[in-house]
Amino acid sequence: MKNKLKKYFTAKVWLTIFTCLCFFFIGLTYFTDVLTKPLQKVTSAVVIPLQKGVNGIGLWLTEKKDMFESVENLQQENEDLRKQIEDLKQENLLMKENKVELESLRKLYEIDNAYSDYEKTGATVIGRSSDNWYNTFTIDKGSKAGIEVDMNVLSGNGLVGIVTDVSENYSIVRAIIDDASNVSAMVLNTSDVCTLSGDLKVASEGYVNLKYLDRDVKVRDGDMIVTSNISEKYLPGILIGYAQDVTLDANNLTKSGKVITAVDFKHITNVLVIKEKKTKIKE
Amino acid sequence: MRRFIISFFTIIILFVLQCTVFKGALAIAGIAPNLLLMFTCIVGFMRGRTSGLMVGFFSGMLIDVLSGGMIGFTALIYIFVGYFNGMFYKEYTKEQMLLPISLVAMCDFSYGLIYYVITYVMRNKLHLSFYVSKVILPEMIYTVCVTIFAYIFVYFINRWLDLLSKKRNNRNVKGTTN
Repeated sequence: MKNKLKKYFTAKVWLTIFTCLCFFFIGLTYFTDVLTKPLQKVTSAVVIPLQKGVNGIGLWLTEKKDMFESVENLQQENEDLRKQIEDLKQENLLMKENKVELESLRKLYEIDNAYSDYEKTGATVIGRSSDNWYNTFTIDKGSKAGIEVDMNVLSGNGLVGIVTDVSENYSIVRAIIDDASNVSAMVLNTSDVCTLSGDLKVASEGYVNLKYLDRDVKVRDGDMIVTSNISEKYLPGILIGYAQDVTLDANNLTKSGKVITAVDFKHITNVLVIKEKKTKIKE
Repeated sequence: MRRFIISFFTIIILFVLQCTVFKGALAIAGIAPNLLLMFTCIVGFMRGRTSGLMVGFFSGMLIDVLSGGMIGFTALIYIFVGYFNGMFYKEYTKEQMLLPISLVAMCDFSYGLIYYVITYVMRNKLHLSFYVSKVILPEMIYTVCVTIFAYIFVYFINRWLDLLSKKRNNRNVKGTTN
């Protein structure tokens, strides 16, 4: 009986079966995620805890590597920094005085700090996309922590990306430097709208491409680029980066250039997820 | 059964390593090796077509399910990679490393090309020479370097498992004759 089955299930038969299965899944994900959600749940229950642990080991490794490399440098740096601290202490005093003044002036103008009033939650990056073609991150919080698709993700004070996929205990963030990412942005001083699209070619240098800026807009290197008011998914006024090399296009109608991102995507470990979505705010 | 469980855990461990350590501390110029494709190739070469395509299916599915998006696409490519490598199973000795390594290199290169055509060319990103020189080739070279170690590792585990099953078979034969 067993032999007969084995004779029937040759390699070619297996190949056909699995190929059909793959096509079935491809078709299925195209229409619905009824089957994929439970599948994700089961696999993530096994893999995500492991990933968290191994990621810890990886971070520890990099730390140790850096430590051995730079003990001597550190000593030198320590001395320099001590000197700097003294200078900074003095400066700090001055700043504090200035801050009090600034706050009172701000109250007068009723301007609030740009995005400190959104509800945020911290998360840790526990993995990156398995291939070299995409720049996506896996973070250790999912629908259990209240994260939903299309929530904005920050790190420090710059935009990291947007949540594209959520499961129970993890979610996937597509970075703005990803090749498939497009963000509607604007120049902070003039409020002129442009589009920032990620590109694998410049991603490793920490740039995104700036496109479709009106030809009359004057942009200098270092001008701040923030998310625009008209974006459908990104909350307005989040810092993305600083403009560079903006020049007139060959078509004589638009300008394009580069934007240096405010976030260092190579060394990203902790992020903040804004728990408010643009679509909800509109309502 | 024992083989199945060991391969299953190896796939998971390789996936986790690839997503964390190889993408972080061990990435060279931002490029990580493709460990799961490498494992699929090695298993296909060492155990034949059926094992190769099964390992390919499971590792491809793992990648697809956990990275979100279209499920089954990577698995489809991996199945054919496993099957293709399995074709060399009978004719060649397993002690020579040149053939499996060149197979891994070839498969990784073609996988990169297929992936590029399907996901990038479709979006009008046509700068082929850039993508070949900055993504596909470095990934291939890195993967080949890892394969040299991984192949020896898998080879010895495979031999150990062969020995175990042989012993068990011998015992069974003795039992029936007595």
